[in-house]
Amino acid sequence: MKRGCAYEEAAKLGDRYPVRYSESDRRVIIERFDYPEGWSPRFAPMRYDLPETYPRDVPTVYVSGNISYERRRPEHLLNWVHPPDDDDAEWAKWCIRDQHVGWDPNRDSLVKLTSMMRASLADPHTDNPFEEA
Amino acid sequence: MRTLRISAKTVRRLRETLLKDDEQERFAFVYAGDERDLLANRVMSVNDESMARQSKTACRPAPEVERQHVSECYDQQLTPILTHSHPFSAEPKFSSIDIESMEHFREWLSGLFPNRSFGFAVVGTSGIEAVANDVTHLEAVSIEVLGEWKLDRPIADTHSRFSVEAADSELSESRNQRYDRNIRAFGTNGQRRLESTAVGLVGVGGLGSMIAEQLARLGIGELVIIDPDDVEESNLSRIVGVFDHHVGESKVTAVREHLLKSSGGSLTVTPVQQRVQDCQSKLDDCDVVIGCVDSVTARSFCNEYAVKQLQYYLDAGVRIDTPEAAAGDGTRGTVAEQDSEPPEDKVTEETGKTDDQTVKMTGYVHLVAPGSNACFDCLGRHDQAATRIEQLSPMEREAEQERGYIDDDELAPEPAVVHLNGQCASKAVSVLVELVTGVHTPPDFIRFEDHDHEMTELTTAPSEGCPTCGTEGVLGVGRRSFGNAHFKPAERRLDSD
Repeated sequence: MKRGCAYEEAAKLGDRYPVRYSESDRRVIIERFDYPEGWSPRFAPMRYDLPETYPRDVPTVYVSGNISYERRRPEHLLNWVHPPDDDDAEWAKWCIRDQHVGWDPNRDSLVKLTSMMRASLADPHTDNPFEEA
Repeated sequence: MRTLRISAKTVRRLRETLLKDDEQERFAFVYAGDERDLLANRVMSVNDESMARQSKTACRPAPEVERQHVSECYDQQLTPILTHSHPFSAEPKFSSIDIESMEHFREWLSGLFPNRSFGFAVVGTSGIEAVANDVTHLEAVSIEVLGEWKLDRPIADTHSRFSVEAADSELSESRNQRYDRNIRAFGTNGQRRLESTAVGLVGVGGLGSMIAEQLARLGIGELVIIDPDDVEESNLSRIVGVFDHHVGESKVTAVREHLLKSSGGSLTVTPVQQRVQDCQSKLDDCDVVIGCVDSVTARSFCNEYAVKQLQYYLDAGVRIDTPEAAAGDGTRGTVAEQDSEPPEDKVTEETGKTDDQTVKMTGYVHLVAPGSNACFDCLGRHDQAATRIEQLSPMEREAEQERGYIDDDELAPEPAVVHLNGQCASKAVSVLVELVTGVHTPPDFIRFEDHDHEMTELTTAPSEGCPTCGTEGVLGVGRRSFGNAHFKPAERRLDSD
């Protein structure tokens, strides 16, 4: 992992959100993410697990295990898939297949991923939610 | 003595920046990773307008420029090497004025940034002299250029990790007997160099075990073999030195047992049954790392490790295209034991027309001298789709299979045959011998086709846009750490978009 890159991106994300960054765990937690309309509660954490190969590969995204969407459960919310260290179902995986994200290590970042996540969560039933982000 | 490791690209940049036709002395900051050795990361030149003093015999940047660069360097967890030029000198030495100034600098920097490392260097038309602080004084540092054969004008008096002292170049009589034919091929010095070399071998499957066997017979001094897997029955058709009774044992233990016999007991073998990502420190004392793994994640890791540590990395792999690909029957046709060739090679040629075109076997050997030729990512060899699957937990993988995101054949074992591995292993060892003994300039990339018996040698260059060794990459940063952090926005309302 490019540690300097991950640290700088987490710091930039920290300009907007309270962010906890753990280099040893390769983890970024947005402590109070403002989920789009339709989600309840509106303010809850979000988590990025950075791959060993970051930034060449996209992080794994987990949303808070306590949030729900007002209508039917979004297909991308895999609320039975948790991080390995999460015995209490505190987190649920948000499925972003890499080919839909089109992740480019030279162009994309945690800030960009957060914008893409906002678009995805705002329109959680689309097949390719990141395309318009 | 510590060494300043520096890539050919960085040497060229230093020369372009500091040695100009007007023969004025010039100044640059080399940012360097600080491990046991110093590892040159980048050159930050100081333009003429930012110099407080500049002539053909002296130069010094404005104090605010010095402070800015030194602070920036430490913020990036790197070490500044304050570098100036002696354009009038081929093999430069610090002048008495330089030495006096450096001592003032040392006191100033040590006071301002206690316990932080720094160094000084002077660059001439053919040489570089460098020193680094050692608690109370400045100590000489040797220079090693990675991939020095890429320079038009080599640096004089450099250190080579493969060189041996003249006094050490004699072999005992028994060693002479054992390696008599090797010595006739590349001399006593070449043989001694091999015996002084430590190789980190990542992956001891079909390919890695053959490389290990050849290295043991050649008389390599030390091998660190890393592989997390146990021997399975399906390995017995390919892994050298592994037999039925080894099934269920760790691969590294079984292969080590055989290597000790192959080498006549002279080889030191350190077995490590772990993923390379979990034991990178085991590679730190190696002179070269060889990767023969079936995972793109592990290959990417080895490449990044080599780039960060300015370490030589040899990546070897084979690929077997089966006829199903051309037939388009929906099964996975293009498969590989180590499937991460450059994109242009990923084009599957039309096969299946005649019997002799049904199976296509290729192999490659890629030498990475970081910053001097192309790394794994310069050639676009990283495969996001493969790493994504590799990095899923078993539960996630199962969930994705159920959802149809992963086809069963994507997880199926890949074809592998002993004779293709043998060819690839020999090519990899051949490149290693050239690198270590210096008998020939090693190639950057070899690609060979078993079917046509064709071999292609490619010359590569590092890419400035490479995410790993390019301008924004991690060349020479070492194992720097930024630790954990809690970032908070400035006081303001958090509105939803």
